[in-house]
Amino acid sequence: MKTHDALVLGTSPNALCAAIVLARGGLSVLVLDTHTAPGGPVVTEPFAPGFFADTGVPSAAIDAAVAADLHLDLPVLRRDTVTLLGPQTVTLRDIPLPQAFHQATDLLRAAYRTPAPSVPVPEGASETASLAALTAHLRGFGPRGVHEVLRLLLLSVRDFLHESAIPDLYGGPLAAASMRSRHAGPFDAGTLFGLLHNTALEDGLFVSTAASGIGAVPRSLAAAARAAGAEIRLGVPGPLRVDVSDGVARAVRLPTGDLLPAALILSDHDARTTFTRLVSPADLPPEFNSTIRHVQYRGNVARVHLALDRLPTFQALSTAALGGTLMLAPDVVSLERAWDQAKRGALPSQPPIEVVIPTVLDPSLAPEGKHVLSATVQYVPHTFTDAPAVLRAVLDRLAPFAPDLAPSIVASRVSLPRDIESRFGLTEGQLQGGESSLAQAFFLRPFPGSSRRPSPVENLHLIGSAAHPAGYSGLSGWTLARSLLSSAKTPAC
Amino acid sequence: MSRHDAIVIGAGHNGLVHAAYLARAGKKVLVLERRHVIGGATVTEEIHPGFKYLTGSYLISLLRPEVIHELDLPRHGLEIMPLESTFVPLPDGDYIADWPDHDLTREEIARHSLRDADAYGEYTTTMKRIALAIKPLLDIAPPDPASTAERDVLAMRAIADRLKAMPRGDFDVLARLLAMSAADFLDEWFESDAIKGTRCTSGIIGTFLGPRSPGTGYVLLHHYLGEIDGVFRAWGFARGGTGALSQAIASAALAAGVEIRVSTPVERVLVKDGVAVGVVLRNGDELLADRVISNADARVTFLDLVEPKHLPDDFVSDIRRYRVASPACKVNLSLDGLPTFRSLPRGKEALLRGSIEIAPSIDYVERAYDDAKYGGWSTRPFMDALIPSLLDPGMAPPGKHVMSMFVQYASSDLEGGWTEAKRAQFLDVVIDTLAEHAPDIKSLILHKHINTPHDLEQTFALSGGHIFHGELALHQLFFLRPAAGWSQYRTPVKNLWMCGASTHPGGCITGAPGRNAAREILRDWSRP
Repeated sequence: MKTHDALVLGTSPNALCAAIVLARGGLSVLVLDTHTAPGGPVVTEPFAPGFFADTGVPSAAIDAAVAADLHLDLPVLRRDTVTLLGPQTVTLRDIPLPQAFHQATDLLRAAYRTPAPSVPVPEGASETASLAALTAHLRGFGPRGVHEVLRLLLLSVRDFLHESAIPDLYGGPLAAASMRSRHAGPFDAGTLFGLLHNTALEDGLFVSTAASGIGAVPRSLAAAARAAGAEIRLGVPGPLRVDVSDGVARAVRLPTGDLLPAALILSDHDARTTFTRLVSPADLPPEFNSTIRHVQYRGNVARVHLALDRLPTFQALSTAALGGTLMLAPDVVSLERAWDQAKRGALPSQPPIEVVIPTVLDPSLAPEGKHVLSATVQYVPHTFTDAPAVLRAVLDRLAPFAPDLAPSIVASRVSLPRDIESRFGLTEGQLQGGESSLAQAFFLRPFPGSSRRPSPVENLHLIGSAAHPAGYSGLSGWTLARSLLSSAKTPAC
Repeated sequence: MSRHDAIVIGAGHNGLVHAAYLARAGKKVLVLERRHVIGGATVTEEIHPGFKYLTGSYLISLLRPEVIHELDLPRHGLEIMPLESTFVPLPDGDYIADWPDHDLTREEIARHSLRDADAYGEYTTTMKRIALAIKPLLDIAPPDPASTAERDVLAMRAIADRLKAMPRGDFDVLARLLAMSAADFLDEWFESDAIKGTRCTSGIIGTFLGPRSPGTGYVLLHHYLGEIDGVFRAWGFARGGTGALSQAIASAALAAGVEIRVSTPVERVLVKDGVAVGVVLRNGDELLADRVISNADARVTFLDLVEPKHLPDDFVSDIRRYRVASPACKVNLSLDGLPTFRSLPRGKEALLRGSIEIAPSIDYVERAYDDAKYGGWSTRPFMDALIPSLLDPGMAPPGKHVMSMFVQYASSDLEGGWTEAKRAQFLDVVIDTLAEHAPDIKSLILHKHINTPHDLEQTFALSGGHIFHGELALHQLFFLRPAAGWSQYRTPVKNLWMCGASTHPGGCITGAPGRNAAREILRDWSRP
């Protein structure tokens, strides 16, 4: 049987970007996915007859450097307005953020475009150059800039809003954009990192998606991968297993018992799934199994999709605003209060909610004249099981702004974190494949020690959102595939 | 008028340590204290006749051994007794205890969880190893990462080398710990609520965060440093209370030639042509000196004592945003006898000689935080109590006792402000909470006293009442304490320096800021 140079398990944008890099680098690449549509949680699918929604992540953007390097022409749609639904409904287009905020996101973007250096960098390591480049980038901000940028990375959202004198109006939306998928409250240290991280990936307060649903992004990437020579097999019967012998990953085993041998196996799955399901823990050192047990997931986002027989009437909102993001996130204190309930396993009485009506811009996502409304509800604990309560929370919160919403619903779907887990194989429904926090960033991602030894199993690598830098920007796959290619080109001594 | 080489504003323990070191280097030093007593928040006060209260700090854990030895504090009367145990009464009538003996502690833990008893040994050795590795960082002036000066670059390199020398696994634990919550970290090690409850308190003491807040991992480590490096490798109690420590340091300072004036409040720092040349007292007197060193916190120093026109705008805004909101209170009780804790087993009365903690679980402490963080106070607060009279009978009249309690959380920014009525109400909350575990406490109380954050601010001139001179938040540590670029005890005003807990390595009775600042100022002084 043919041995592939690289076998990619999963089809998120990260996996597909890796496949493109490797295939264009001349490797024979086989991509496998048990689902019939590519994208992993970056997918648009029907949730009711004729109604389509982004059922996994609500937004994501392929990083500009990745798109440029791979000559990708992607269908990007930027939601560049946020409308705060509240006592005064206001549409935000531009938010006055301090200069250091922009410098910090620039720096993160640069850091995300290189593999996470092992810290502290060992003497003479190849990462010295990339770390030196980042240091030079940072120093370019001048002494005050260096101080301010480093400080922002450690700051809480609450303190940032307070000291930056950002008008109260922006506080709620900024806090909500910081805390997406975070198991923490906006009063906690290091939480501004969420907003910086998301903004660096063009997925901050203003988010990116694709006009005809976010699933268009992986479809487009899959086409590019095939054009580069990669073979992509969708709907492969699972579960798939990685065959390990003598500490080396050698093949992927299909349920039929057939083996697909490969020199490299790249897993798009999260660390827990990869090292407990794809690989048997019995093949791993016990200390490593405990490292993997300690990776924090605790997804806390629920998605609610409504099929509507007409466009709901949001009073005093322009069509332009309806095409953007609508937010129910009054202020930072209300977010912290929601977190107080969530951390005890309860559904908050006032969870932060982000709403989009994608059919305003792309009617093809619903039957003619009909509409789709998708809500992202934060702080829904991963242990929470009462889906109707989440639906009620969304409808109750929206009712004052769109009184005709409830009567126009013809179908609905609620995905709790546990549904996201079972549908996408994401541990505890964590959409980022592992909480994206300071404690799980850079050299600590996907697990502590990974920058020194990417995997206890030779030839098996994590390339998905579980890996540095987290997210569906393509960066984790792109950076890893590039370094694999360049190390393959360097003759072993 | 006699001119001094140095004037130290504030006779807190760091100010006294600092003055002593300067005087031992031959400088003529004057310490000015606004209160009638020295020690700042490191003080023993007889507020109720015959009963000695610890109105500020109460325990000694992180005091640098170098300070004790170099200033020869035992000769000046310092006697530290180890605080040998921790006793945590639990709501179900059970308890958990830490003993000085590892095996005894292990046995106590095993009553709650065999698995935790097994983990306990490794947890302790891991924490000690990490604390040992970073301990030398307490004694440096944090380098500025933005600086290209040789000194900063070399110091940064030395830190990098130290981190590289750590076992890789330990470095990862350290890095995660800094960013994690104390609760998440403890969850990785232990399963029993009671065990996690008592251990998590090290992560929140003096800090306006809950055990589930990221950022509390660092505080956990900060307090752990004391356990490896304290005088007795344990928390300690000074005979005569913490005030006796201040007296011992003052005695060492006086012996070295320092002059200390109490009841002498400073109105402002005298600045001429951008250079600090002395101070103006509240009574209008001007005292001149070559160097002025402030032991006051950063907000008091730069927002009250120095006129803004002498400071760069950026710096002033950095100090304004320096976070000082505090949740900590001190309560002292005069008792007619020893309280009876329901869950204290017969034969283990020795546990009363140690720390008595009301922290039965992480959830309890977290709820205490949630109650207070929006400007309120805990309905059931976390408390760390001590009966000093059991360790030192001189703290109370014969047969009587004094109980000193560290209590959190009550917001320094209490909604509606701290009124007399609110003070009394919160004191009742504290006593009611204690009474749930020691029902006879109310009948024993002869006198009670509380220092709320507001009282701590008023009494000790601590901004926000913050016992650490500002939060030990990640963004206020190391090169960022108290403001980036000013972490080496200097200030933007030439010849004005800082030596208090707003500087590295921060709060607790350490003597480190005072000693580090003395080293820096003397080095600077010796330059031509």
